[in-house]
Parts: sequence; C-alpha cells; structure tokens
Amino acid sequence: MSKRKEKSKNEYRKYVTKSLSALRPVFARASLGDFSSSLRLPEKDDEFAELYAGIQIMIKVMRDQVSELDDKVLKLQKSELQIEAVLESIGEGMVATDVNGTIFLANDAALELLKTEKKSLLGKDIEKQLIIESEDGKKLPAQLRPLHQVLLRTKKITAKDYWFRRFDNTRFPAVITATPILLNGKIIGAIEIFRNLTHEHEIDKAKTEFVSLTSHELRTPLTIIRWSADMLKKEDLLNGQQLKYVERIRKVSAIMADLIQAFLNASRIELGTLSVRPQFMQIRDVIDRTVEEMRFESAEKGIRLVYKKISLPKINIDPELLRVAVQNLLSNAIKYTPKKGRVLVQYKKTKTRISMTIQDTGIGIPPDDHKKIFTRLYRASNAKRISAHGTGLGLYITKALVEKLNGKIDFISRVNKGTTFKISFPIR
Amino acid sequence: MDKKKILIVEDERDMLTTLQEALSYEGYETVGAENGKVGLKEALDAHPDLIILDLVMPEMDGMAMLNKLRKDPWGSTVPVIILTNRSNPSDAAEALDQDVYKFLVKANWSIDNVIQEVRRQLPLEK
Repeated sequence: MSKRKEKSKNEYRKYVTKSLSALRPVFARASLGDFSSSLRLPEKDDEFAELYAGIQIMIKVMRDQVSELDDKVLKLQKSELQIEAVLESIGEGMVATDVNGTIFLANDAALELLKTEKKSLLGKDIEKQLIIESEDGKKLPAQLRPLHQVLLRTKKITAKDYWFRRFDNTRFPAVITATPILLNGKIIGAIEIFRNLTHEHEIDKAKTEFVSLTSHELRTPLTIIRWSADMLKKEDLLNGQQLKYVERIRKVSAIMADLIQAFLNASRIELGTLSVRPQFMQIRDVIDRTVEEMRFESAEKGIRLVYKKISLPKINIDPELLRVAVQNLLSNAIKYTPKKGRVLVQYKKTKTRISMTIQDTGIGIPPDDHKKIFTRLYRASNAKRISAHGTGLGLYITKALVEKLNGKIDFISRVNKGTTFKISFPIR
Repeated sequence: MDKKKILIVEDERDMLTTLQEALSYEGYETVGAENGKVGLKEALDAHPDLIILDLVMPEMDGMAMLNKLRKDPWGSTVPVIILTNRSNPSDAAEALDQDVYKFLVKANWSIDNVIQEVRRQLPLEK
C-alpha cells in the first residue's frame, strides 16, 4: 500500500474513533436515566451526521417520554393523596378487604369508632378482628356477615340491628353497608361501611318515653269525661236525645281509652318495660270472657261469632297479656269482616301445645302486606278502605305479647276470602 | 243514723269532685284530701269507714301515706281501695302487700264498677 493511502486510512480510523467516542458520555448518561445531554452535530455532512441526528432525536424522545411519565406519576401521587384525604374525612367507618377477607384499608373514622390503631387491622382477617354481634350479644356467624355475603353474591347489602364490639370490649349499635369492589367486572374485594347508631337509638327511646308519658297523662282527664258521662246517664234527668249524646260520649271515650292503652302497651314493649306475671291457670277463663265481651260488637254488625269450646289443660301464662292479645285479634276479625260474615274461634291441643285459631270471612290481607303486617304503625293497603281508623299498632302489640308469653303467632289469608290467625302456647 | 264516711285522697281537683259527687249521690258522706300528708291527718282525725287512695300525688304520695297509716292501730284496720292510673303490676303487688282491699286502675273501670267495689266493702244500710 502506498504511504498516502496508509495515512488516509489512519486519519479515517482516528476520525471514526473520535466521532464514536463523542457518543460515549451520551449513552453513559442515558443508561443512568439522564436524557439531558445534547450532541453537537459534526460539520461534515457524512454518515456520522446522520447517526448523530438519529441519536439526538432518540434522546429527545426518551427525554420527552420520561418527562411525561414523571408528570403522570406526580398526578397519580396527588390523586392518591386526594383519595386518602377523602377517605379519612368520611364520617363513617370504612374497612376494605380482599376476596379472602384480609383487611387492606381502614380509615380514621373506623379506627376511632373501634378504639384501635391501623396496625391491629391491616393485614388481618376481618372475621377475627372486627367482631359483629346481634343485639343479645351473640357473635354473628361468619356466613351471615354482610361483607361475607357481598363477596359471595357481589350485591350491595345494608343491615341494621347489629352491634360492633370495640377493642376496649364495649360495643355500639351500627348500620352496616357492604359493597363489592369490582375491577373489570371481576370482584377483587369488598368494603364494609358502618355508622354508630347510638344517637338514633337514644332519640327513639326519648320518643317512646314521650308517647308513654303523654298517654299516661291523658288517662285521668279521659276518666273524668267517662265518669261524668256515666253520672249524667245515671242521674236520669235527661231526655231521649240528650241521652243519645251522652251515649256517644261514653262510646268514643271508651275508644279513646283503648287507643291510649294501645299506645302505652306499644311504648312499654319498645322500652322493654312490659312486665309479665305468669300464673298457672286455665286460659279458657280469660278467653271465654273476652269472646263474650265481643258478642255485642259482632251482633251490631250482623256477624256470627261462633265459639267452639273444648277442655284445656292449665298452663303458665300471664292472664292480662293474653286477654289483650286475644281481644286484639277478635277485634280485628270483627272490624275487617263485612256485615253478615262469620268469625270462628276454636282450639286444638296436642301433648305439647295448645293452639287457638280465629278465622274470619273478611277482606283478607294482601300478599304484599304479609311481611310487614306485624310491624309498628303498619296498616294493610285494603284496611284503610274498610275503616279510616286504626293505629296500626294492634298486630305489632299482639305479636310482641304472644312472644312474651312464650307463644307463637301465624296467619294465612286470602284477599276477600278471609284471614285465620293462629296463636299457640307450650304446655309445661 | 250516721252515714258511712269515705275519705278520698286525690290530687286532681276534677277527679276528686267527680268521685265525691258520685259517692254522695249513692248516699255516702265524703271528705276530700289533696295529697298524702293532708290525707293522713284527715284519716287519723276523722276515722273514716273507708279510704279511697290515689298513688301519684305531690307532698306525700299514696304508698308513703299508706305505709304510715298502717303503723297506726286504727289505721292498720281501715279498708283502703287504691284508685290510680298506674297500671304496672309491680305497683299493684306493692300495694297489695300493704293489705289493700282493691287495686283499681281508673282507666279500666266505669264509675259504677268503682261504686260496686265501695258498696261491697261498705254496704249501705237501706
């Protein structure tokens, strides 16, 4: 090779080495995530110029992408902080678990309500750490827990009448809402949100005590009205029409007295102050008398009151509560049966139980009302058509009384055909 | 002949007059007292043949008066009918412990029922 060729080869080699070396710091920095360097483009417009330009573009693209990613991460962090702030400021307790019931989130409100710290909840099994009880203090079985049911059925559930046990062993009544956590249609966990109902319970109690107090206060003036009307009739100084007025006063005063008694009974049941005094006795003594007392009312309406008596063994029962329960059922039967209908009262006895049925040919209870008929202040949709009056307390009280007497109450009913109520008591 | 005397201890004025009028109409002599304290004094002074006693009263309530009354030799024998609107069985039990003839809840009884009970304890000689 000529000397001149040799020389240009060497120069070319030096040029390539130099051009490539200039790239080294750029790649070095890029490998560390630093895309801030820029390349000085060579003066010669050769292959290296193209290479440099390409790398320059690549570096810029990387730089832009990293910048965009940084922005996104920042936004996400901000979003996460916002969500955390929102969760922490929710007034209600919130606990979230994965599909196995392991807690991964518990907000401040939850910690405060339960009187505990995050470390006793996070990562733990909700069934073991967050105890739910029924009113009587019995721990709720796992499968009945709202969160558990939600994990199975992926539907939202709200439940009342449950109590949470705090970490200091006190407890509070709560309303619980459990919802599934869904991601792309698949369940990945569940949330339990709960609120302390102590305040609501106290308000309820105050209301009930108010009803009790008012009803009690109303009794004396009402008694004076009734007795004065009685005296008017007795002193025999009135003419026919005046006597009719007095009769009316007596009649509606008696209705008022019954209403007040119903309110008092209902409030005593609610407050748990209803006293039961069982006696070993013959229930026929009470029921025979109650049925007889109803004869006048049924006759007035042209309703046949049929009473089939059988001999019954004595049982342990409170006569007054039994009387009120039976009177309520009979009164309903007569009230909701149209003229010329029939009310049949009969008994059945087995070795262990006595049962009594009151069967009417009345308007019946619509199927939609069956579930609610024993609740306070509830009147069936067709009841209002036959009578505008009715507190809706009768069956609520009757059921509570029957259950206080250790009995059971049930009914079957068909609209416009009639209703049969059955109450039964154990023979002990 | 002396009429039979009934002491009525009742704080509600209208209730007291209603009872007094109803019993006077039947032929009894009546005396009223508006609380247990006055009632106790009246009872020990006048020695009525029967006492009708309300429970809830100011100054001294019915049970307190009854307790004190039963400590007196005459007071331990006088028949007492409690006429109240308190219908809790525990009140009845407490009263019956004090040897009360009857425990009547006003709201559940007509005036004739009340008079019947009075007559049963204190028959009028006709």
